[in-house]
Amino acid sequence: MEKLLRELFDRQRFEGHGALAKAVDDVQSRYFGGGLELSEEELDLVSAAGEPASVGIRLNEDKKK
Amino acid sequence: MNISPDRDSLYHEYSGRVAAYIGSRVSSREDAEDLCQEVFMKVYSSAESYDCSKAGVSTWIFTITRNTVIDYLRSKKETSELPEELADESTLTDRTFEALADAVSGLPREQRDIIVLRYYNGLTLKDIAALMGISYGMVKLRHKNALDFLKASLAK
Repeated sequence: MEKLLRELFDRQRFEGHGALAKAVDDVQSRYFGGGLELSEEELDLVSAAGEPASVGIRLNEDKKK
Repeated sequence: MNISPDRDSLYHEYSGRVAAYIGSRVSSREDAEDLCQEVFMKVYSSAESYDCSKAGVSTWIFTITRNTVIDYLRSKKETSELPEELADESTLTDRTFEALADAVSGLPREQRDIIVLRYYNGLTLKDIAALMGISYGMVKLRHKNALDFLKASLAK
């Protein structure tokens, strides 16, 4: 069983099984802080299109150059 | 039964997965890109002999990718020993992968955490106990219960 589980998670890196990927992400987030949770302040900076507002600012600055 | 999968559709469907897998195993980005190209050269050159009655397309491409990574790690000696999961030939069939993935996902959270930390992150049970802030004995018990549940799930 332990060999199968090692193979399972190795193959998971390739297959991306939906429920298992969610379980892995959940554990990484809770124990290693690898989640992508944004604070309220950071959420305010995300545009409706889902892009951080700072990207737009940088693009405008590039145009000025 | 042989089929010759279309090259473009194979690349379109699997290049992301191949790149993600190689990227998780190989630290050099440049080498990872070369390996990705190498995998698809092997896929294209062996497409004529691919037998879909023996393995699904995904399993076939995964096997080529995995073996390419193993050959690379051995040649580069990036690690003194191959990771345990790469040391032996894979025995996981498509059906077992799906069944086991579903079973792990269905474990109670306190057991699922231990299984992920042990077999995805490669931590020891002692490290897991420290990380979770519970006793080693409790981790051992939950780990055993999880393995028993998974074995029973696969036996159904």
